[in-house]
Amino acid sequence: MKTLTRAFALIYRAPRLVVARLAVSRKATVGAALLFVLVMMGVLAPVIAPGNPMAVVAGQNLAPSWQHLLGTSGQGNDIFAQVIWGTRNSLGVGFVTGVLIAVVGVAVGLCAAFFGGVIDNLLTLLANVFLVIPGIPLLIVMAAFLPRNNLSIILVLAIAGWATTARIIRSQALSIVRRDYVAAAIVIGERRARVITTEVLPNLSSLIASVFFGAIGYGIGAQAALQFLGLGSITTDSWGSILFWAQNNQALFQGCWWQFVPPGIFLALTCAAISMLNFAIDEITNPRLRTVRQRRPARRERAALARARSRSAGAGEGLDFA
Amino acid sequence: MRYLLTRLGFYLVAIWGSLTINFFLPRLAPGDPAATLMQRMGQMTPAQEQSIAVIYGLNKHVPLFRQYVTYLNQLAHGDLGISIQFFPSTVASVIRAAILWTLFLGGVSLLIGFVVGVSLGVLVAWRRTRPVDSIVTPSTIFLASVPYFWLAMAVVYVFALKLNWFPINHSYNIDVSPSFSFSFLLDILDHAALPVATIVVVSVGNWLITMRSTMIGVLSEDYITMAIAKGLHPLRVALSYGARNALLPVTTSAGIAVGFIVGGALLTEVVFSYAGLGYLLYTSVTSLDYPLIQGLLVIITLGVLGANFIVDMVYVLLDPTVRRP
Amino acid sequence: MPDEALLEVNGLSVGFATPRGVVLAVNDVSFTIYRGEVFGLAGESGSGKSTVAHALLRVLQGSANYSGSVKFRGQEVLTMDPVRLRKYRWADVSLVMQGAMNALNPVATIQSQIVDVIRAHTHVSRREARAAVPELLELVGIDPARRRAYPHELSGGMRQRCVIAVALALQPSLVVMDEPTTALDVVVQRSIMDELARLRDRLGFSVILISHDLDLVAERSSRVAIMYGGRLVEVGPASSVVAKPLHPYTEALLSSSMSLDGPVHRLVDLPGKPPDLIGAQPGCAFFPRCAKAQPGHDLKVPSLLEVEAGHQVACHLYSSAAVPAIEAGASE
Repeated sequence: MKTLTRAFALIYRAPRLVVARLAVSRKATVGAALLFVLVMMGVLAPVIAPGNPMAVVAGQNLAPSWQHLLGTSGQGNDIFAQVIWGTRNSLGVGFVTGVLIAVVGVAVGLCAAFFGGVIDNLLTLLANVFLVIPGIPLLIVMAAFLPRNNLSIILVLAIAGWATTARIIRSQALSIVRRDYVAAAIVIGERRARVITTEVLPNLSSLIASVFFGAIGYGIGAQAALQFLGLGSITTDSWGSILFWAQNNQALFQGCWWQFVPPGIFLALTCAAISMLNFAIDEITNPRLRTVRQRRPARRERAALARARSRSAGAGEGLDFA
Repeated sequence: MRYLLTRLGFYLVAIWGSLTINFFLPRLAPGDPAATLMQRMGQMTPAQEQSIAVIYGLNKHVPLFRQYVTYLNQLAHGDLGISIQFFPSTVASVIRAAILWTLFLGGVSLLIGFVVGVSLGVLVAWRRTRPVDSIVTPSTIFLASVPYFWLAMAVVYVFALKLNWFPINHSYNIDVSPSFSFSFLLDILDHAALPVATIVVVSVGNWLITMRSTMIGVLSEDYITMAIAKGLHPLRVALSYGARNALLPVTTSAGIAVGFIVGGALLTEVVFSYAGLGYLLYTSVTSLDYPLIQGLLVIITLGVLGANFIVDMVYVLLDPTVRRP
Repeated sequence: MPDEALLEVNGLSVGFATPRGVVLAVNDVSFTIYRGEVFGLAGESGSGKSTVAHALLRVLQGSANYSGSVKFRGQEVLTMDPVRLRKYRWADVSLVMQGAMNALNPVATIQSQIVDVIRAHTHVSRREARAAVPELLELVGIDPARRRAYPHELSGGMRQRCVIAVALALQPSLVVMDEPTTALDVVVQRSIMDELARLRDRLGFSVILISHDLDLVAERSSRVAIMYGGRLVEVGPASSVVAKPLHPYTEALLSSSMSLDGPVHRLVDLPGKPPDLIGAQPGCAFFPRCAKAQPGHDLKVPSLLEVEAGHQVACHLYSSAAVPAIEAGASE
């Protein structure tokens, strides 16, 4: 019971800590803002683009106009509506995949690190095998045999993608588990589960956030690829499926750029936003990675610096060795 | 040496893993794909029927373990089944025709992407306060987030259709029969230019970010300070002391990166109708050519594992602590 | 006849720009190094000794700002152009860093790390440079047959010796040694220091010996300087500083260790912690921890004053008894 309350307290506190830290980095704010806008787009889809996006509303292959902001598809669907509504599926599947991968990956990584020995060896071997088998072909093969719906996609994505997370978590968890305070906790007699939640997990929190976002990014991108190949759900729209129809309808040859440019841009924006957030999390945990901005110091500091100002010509030898 | 042997052993386990996945998929998948498969096949010889039966578990009365052994045995002999699309050609022969194109495309893109990405990573890490880092790094992050196949479509649209600089699709001019002439070689390069460019642009970001991170870590090490204190030329410090050390972790992650890049190359081939394994994968998915799909998984996995092994060998050359423990 | 002055440091200050403000790691430090002498620099962690060492070769990270002057044989180092600076580094002054065992390139052989510095400064061929390696290694007591070894194949002590060999490769006039023995066990410590003494006799270079271990420094140096909070607080002949420490900090340093055969005394424990180096400190930096502190000592920074021959101290307790030193440091 206590373990549970501890875990919940952690989950409750974590977002606030994360937000406070993220606010520091410019990359993080841009990434987070972008993500927020995209999510809102999906949530507010019925408001922004009312009606059924899969309905045939106009002629085929119409260029963008005021009635159809992004033109129409080869079947006569409104591309704008498809893109807006497609956000739900793309982000939704990506998010659920991300959660699944994060849960499995963290669990496996922690077990491998904490229990060590044979368990570690077996789990690592399993993860490495899944890592080295190329992802796209594996996804395609698995998806080809399963029914074409969202659940299959999520399952297949998770099976192909859990290993990266597990390896990253295991590596970091190993270094934490080897530290003295964990050994101390075990020696005192703390139950293993409690040690994990109170000593190990909090130190992994930023890494877990990072792999979680990474997994979501992977989920969104890989799902788009599968949909593009025609392997996903055909009943709902997603950014990938729009691209599938574009390819099928020879959009390129017909010059219908509006059929493939918008979904791609949104895919890129989403993945870029997640990438930025991830990068920012990396920078926060490892300050050395930051791009060194020459900060203009306050007046008093400028005076002190002026007194300490070098009269050197500047070696200019890279690494900024003064 | 021991390190390489261990890696080899691991790869054997991995290929066995993919074969096992291939074995169980048709047997576990809902809807009995095996039965539908048989209906779509044309007239087959008994030998061909047997080959299919082994892979897809149509011999339901045979115990699972024996099916498994027979399956592995058959695969060890190179029999991957019969293709549905290209009936009665074997899967193996179909793949054989396409594999060189993918090797060419993938190999060239990997090499160029690696060299460019790693060099940029070194540059960006060396000059960290200059605007270079603030511009190059975020732009490559963005480019790395773009899906391969989408960028391919955009590239085709802009450079092939609108600007007409390069051909739209295929790996060579299909109106011309292949020959070993110089003009045919040019034709191949002409058709490969856009796909290679696409793959390189997306993969460069990954190499750059990895190299930048490791390089920054290396540059804060004491031996870099000492190298500078020794009065060595900055280029020598950056390369022989910095990059040479930073390459080690990058090489370790290169194996996994190869897997991703191969995936991207496959998707790019689809957009360009490039006659490699990726395009084959696409057509086999749309026509539900199960034997070909599964055969492709095995061969592509073998290819990626092979590339990984080459990376391992390169790593041994680079890292003296492994060469001489 | 005064000895030739090799290195003249005048009012050297090094500040680092940090988000919290400017950290003055080195604050107005002045001293002179003469040919053939061993100059000891002692102080606790964070006192600025390593920063001084790195500043002499200008190998601090980019966020460092220098002011003051560092002159080697009359040439100003802090404003030297890059080409001249590269020539100066290692050929005139070399540096043995703290934790020298990590200062070797892990992917290059010992030989190549000596050869590259020789070839960077002279126009010899690779073969000629390689020919110089065995002798250099023998100098520091390493079997020349190991010259093709990689750093990870050697023990810590051997790596330390290798770094010293590299430091001597160009026969510099001055070698700065930052904690040369801290990471080694006592037996190896002594042998390295003896080795160093032999090398000095043979090659005649000067040494700046930096350590937190005042006993080591005092034993091996002719002159000793004590640093605290980025400033020099006491400078003088080693014998004089040890026999009659003027600054309360020096006293505390000396009483913090016991000698094997000397009289037993109570170990003194300094209360408080090292000073925060951000921002200008109004008075004596040691004031909060000083047992002899008087009111008013925290109002003005004490300057280095000569109390007896060659022996200077920056402490308000002596401000009435002394004559201001024109130049910090004087020959024995």
